[in-house]
Amino acid sequence: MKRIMTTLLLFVCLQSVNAYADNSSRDITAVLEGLEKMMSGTKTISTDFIQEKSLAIFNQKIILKGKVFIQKPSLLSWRVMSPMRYSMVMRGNTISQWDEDTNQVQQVRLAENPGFQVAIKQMQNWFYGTFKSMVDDYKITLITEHPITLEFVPWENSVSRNFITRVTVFFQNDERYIREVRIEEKNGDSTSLVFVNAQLNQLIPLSAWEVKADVR
Amino acid sequence: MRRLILFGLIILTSAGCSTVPFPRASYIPLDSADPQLVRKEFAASLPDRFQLINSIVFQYKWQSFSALGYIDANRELKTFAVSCLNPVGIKLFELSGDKDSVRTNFVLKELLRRGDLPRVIGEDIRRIYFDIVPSPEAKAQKDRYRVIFREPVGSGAIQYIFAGTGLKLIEKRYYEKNRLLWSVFYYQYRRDHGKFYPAGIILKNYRFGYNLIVRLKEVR
Repeated sequence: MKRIMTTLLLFVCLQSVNAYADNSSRDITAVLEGLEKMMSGTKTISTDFIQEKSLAIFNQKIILKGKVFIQKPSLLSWRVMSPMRYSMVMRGNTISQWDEDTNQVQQVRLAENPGFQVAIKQMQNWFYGTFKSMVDDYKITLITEHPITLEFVPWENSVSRNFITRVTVFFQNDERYIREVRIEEKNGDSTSLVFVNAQLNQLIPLSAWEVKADVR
Repeated sequence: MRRLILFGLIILTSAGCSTVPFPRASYIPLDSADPQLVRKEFAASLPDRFQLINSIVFQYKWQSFSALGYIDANRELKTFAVSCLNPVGIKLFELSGDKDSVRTNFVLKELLRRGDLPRVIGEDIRRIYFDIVPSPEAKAQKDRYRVIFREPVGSGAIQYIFAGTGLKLIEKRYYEKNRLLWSVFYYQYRRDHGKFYPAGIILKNYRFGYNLIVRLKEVR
């Protein structure tokens, strides 16, 4: 679960991409290096998201809506507004979670949760734009250049291959940030994360880093 | 069992405990209510097949965790399929089953290593959604506010308590050797497409000391 969660969160956090599609002969390494360079200029991100989870055994989708805030170097806030309200805030080495049903705030110290620590560490790598760290786990293919679409397929020996078939990342037309992430799982389920109303390098309100109270 | 529950709690890393989160049904005097009519009308008000999105809170002692559940159930055939996600949208487990068995389509490997979580969850789903209408042969009695049915099931007995506006099922209890092992409480029935669904459900497992709180989010 942690790996799947990590994958989700990592892809969610791909941001700030532009000006890479002007050379079709460029190899994927150059594309990733370019993305890393561009992302280093993004200090804060806030965006709404719509997450559609298609479950293979049902002919229905579960739709979650919420908001994500990121502030380098170490703040992340993931807030679900519907169908239930939930928030998770990472501050340094501590994760805080709250949901409306339990109305409890729970804190997890990363140092005391090695698995979580690994997941967060990977997530931070993505925030910092260190995409090349994924090359060992995924075959990364540039599907389209205008705008950029990247496909991530786990290598044969990758642990991710046990549960992920493919991840596709679609960037906005202006290639400044991500429009959609699609994750196809081995079991036939799929997840689509669509990002709207993204704002880059804007001041994020302090309330975004409060895990309890209202998460609107 | 306790290790299983504790492991689930640790995996999902949440803490806390809450009191009953739903208003109790308003007891009204029954007057001349006919138990058999109560039983029949309640049966007629229920959907034969339903698809629901619920939020679920699993409580054990002072700890709890939340999840989002999707259930497709057929009361007549006593079949069901359920998927459970964490609030971030990651699937925790997926089960299907009937009156005799539970099949695990997916469950976190870590959970499987520590115990038979699917069986426990499958049994709770059946307790909550199936056999919620007493048979015509069930022994009925009335007090001022309640109609109570009791009938033998397996090595124990089930008690059905009807009360409140519309005389809906408000509690289902299971006893073995006069010991109450579990109860399911039903709250705030709401009407959707002519059928009634409890908006709140609490399963209390007295034997193993855990509670399951289910909130109806959507009827599909």
